[in-house]
Amino acid sequence: MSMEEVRCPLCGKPNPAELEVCQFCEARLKPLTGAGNSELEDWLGSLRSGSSGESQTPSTPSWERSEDDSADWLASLRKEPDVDDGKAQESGETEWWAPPPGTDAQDEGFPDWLADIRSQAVDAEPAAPPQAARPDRPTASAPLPREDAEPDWLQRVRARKQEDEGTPPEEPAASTDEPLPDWLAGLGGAAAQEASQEQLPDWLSSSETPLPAPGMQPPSDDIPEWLLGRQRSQDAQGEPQAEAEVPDWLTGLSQETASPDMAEAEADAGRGDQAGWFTGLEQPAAEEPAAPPASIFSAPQDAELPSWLSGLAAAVPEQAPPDAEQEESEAAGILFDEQADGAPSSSAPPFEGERPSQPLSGRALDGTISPFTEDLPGWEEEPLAGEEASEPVLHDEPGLARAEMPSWLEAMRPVEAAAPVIPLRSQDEQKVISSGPLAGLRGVLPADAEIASQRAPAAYTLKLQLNDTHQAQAEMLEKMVKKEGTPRELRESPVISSQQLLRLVVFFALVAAVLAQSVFGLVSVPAPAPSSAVFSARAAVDSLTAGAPVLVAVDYPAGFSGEMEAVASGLLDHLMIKGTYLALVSSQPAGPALAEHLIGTANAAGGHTYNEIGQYANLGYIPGGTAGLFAFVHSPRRVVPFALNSNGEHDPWKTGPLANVNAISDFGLVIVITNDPENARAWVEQTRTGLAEKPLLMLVSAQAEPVVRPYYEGKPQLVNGMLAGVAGGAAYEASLVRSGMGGRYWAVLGPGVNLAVIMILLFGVLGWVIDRFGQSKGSPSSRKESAS
Amino acid sequence: MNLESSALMELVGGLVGFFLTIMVFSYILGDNPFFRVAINIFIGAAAGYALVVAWYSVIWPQLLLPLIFGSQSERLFVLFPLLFAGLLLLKMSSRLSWLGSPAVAYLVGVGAATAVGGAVLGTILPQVSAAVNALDWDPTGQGAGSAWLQVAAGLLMLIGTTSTLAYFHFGARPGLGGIPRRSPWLEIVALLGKGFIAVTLGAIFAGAFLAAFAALVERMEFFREFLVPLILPG
Repeated sequence: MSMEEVRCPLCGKPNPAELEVCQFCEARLKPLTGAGNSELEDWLGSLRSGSSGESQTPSTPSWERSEDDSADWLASLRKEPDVDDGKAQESGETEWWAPPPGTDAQDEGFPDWLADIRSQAVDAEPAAPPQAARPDRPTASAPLPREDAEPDWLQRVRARKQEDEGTPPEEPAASTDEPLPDWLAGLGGAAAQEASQEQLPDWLSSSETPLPAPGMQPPSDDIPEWLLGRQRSQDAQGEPQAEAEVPDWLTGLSQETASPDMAEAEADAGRGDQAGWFTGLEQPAAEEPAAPPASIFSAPQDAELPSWLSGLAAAVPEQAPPDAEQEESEAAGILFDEQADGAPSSSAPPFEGERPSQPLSGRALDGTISPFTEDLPGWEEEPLAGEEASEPVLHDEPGLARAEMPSWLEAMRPVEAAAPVIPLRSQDEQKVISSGPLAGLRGVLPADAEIASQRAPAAYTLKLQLNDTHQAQAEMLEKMVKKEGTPRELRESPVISSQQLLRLVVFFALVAAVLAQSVFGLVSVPAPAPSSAVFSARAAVDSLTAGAPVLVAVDYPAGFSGEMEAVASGLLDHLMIKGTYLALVSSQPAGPALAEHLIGTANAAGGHTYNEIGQYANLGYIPGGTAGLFAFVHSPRRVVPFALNSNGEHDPWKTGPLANVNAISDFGLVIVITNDPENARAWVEQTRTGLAEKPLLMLVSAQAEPVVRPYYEGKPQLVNGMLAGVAGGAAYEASLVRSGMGGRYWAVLGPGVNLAVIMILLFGVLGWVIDRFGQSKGSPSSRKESAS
Repeated sequence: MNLESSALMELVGGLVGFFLTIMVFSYILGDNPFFRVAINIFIGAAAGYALVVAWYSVIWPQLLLPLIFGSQSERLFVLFPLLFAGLLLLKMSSRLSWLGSPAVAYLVGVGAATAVGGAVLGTILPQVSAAVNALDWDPTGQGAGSAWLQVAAGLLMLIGTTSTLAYFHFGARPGLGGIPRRSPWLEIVALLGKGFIAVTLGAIFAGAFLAAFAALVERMEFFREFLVPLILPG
């Protein structure tokens, strides 16, 4: 922690030194000390008003009121024990326990019942204060009675102790003129001369109010009701009865805890000046030689005791009597932080763990540092040793603020992580409360210690590990984002683009070539030479007899009808020439119509009259795709039971060539006309096993040839003959020495294909030149460069 | 139908075909309404014709006719497809579509089994056998010269098949920089296979171009046959 920062005593977080309250928890960083009398008056005034509202009432006697408002009952804490009277008077401060003028200071504030007891004890055995008992012990801030006002029970305890130790009892302080120890003399003198008429708070007056003088009527406000009642009865009877003044419960308590030693009983009577709650808290401290509680009254043995008190009394062990003076001083020290030297006492009080080892008030009492000075005490400027040990050291990077975990995130942490490991501190390591009503106590509110002991979140670096590729991508992304934000001019799209113009040029060139060749026959194109596949197909057709059933599968869409009809027209012409019976099927819905158109085209090309059901049967559509083909292979009658061209009068499966056909193997030849390689493969796969030795011909489009040809050229040969494209049809017609669609289309197709090849090469080279050497902005290279 | 009406029908049909062809050719200028109209007409006509074909080829003769006029056994035989057809119709309802799942499952299962069986027995095994037999030394068949060419073709086929399969082998181990790379010898074989694939795709593209060009030739022949008599009668 730097010097400019002050760590909050409550939350443990650093704060700027100039702040008075913590910026995180709003706890006060600087105690309300040393701010001058004005601030002191404020909080003390509030304390007075809050604690004793009756102190300002008119019923308060005048001798209890302070003549000077600036005086404080705690002002004595700041004063050194050896402050002389004159200095005290010059400061304008008055002792709060000072008796009013004309009254006995040693008896003021005590109830009359207690005053009677004191008077009896003084008469019987005048006690002398143990002058050398604890000479180095710092004086307590608690209002100590003057020398002559020392309780008699205390004197008796000292006398008994000295008797036990074999030392001669000290001479009782018979006269006030006898010199006293410095610390006691100063205290007593200061107390006597600085006896203030300031009003005493109720909570202090209940325990520390001096006993009033005998015969003096104490203010009724200071006397509880039960005491008032007993006082009235005593006045009425006219004889003091100590036992009668003792309440029953107190009598029983004294009976239960009565020690055989009277000195012990009187030592406890000293505690009777203290608050009753304090006495009860002091008793459970059994680890020290605490004095058993005893009543200062001689209670009757048969007094009744409440049950809760009976249990409490029974739990009190009988132990050796403590040092009465020590107990008394410790009791006062708890209340007023009088233990200044920090030396551990032989008898630990009940608040042992909460008492400071070096209380502020103690330092004030020994005259070094006053808790109400403006200077910050040392503990506030420097953290405690225990805090430094428990707090993790964080090395914050410059310019980075320490992160704080949000509350919601902190709530989500596991319990093991959130629960701080609070080391058990000893008494000396616990922090002293520096301000507020609990000032001087140790470890009362250990919240700061818990917070400080929590583990700080791990600090992670925010630097990203980027390489050159990442940086390049980031720059590219940045450019893209910037480019999206910049407005660009909208280009008017031309009516016709260069690409469309190129399309038009290619289209019209091909159309012109085709029309010119078709109309005018500019170029003579020879028919292609028949391949082995063509010869195989022709041989298969040639093997057929007239009227042999031939299955023709028309499996192409309408868009390919031009090409497929050119391929198949020559072979159909050959089949019609042979007089075979054609059974047309299709695995596509439009197939039957295309089959009819194919028959018509073949009739027109070859001059045939295949129009009746006796010459061909359009069996229609085979549903089910591949499964339908499989079913048709094994049971064609069930799959396609009717012929579309029969008009319902003629059943081709009952009469004619199909009457003997029950499977696909019963056909003399199977011809598949398709443009799709998948259809061709499906027909091959599904029919090959069912055809046995019957031939299978494939009339396929040019685009399906690369896929179908392996079935023809492979061993075993799955396809017995094949015609591929217009060239295949033209070759078949050429083998038959007949003219047909194949030859006619090939005559037009050839020049067009050559022109297309030339254009492909030409434009390919042109594109490469433009891409390589072109500087036009719209070229692909320039676009690529602009994109990069 | 007399000759005049027949000629009129041919004329009307020819005009419809001519304009539809022009509308389809208009796509050379880009997508336009004429092309869309022609395509929609073609799709609608094909769908309507398919419906008619399905009715006259499947539904009526194979389902309803046996159910109405068939024998008891024929009726029982068509109950199963009738039930499945009804369940398939329930697929149109989002609430009852699950009832059509059995029919779909039946169709998919039968179709898959048929396709797989046909592919194994009709394509894979025969092609494997053909690849092996390509290297069969048969000098008595077509002479010694042909035998050597046959072996050479078989070797080329073997190399092409192997290299093409190697091209589709994507197994690799991490190399320098963590980039997975195949072994060098596999890279060479794969490159060779890539060449075979390119040649094959080129042949298929050439065939597609020839098919398309054949369609253009057919349309030009149609124009010639339709327009020339109109322009140059007699």
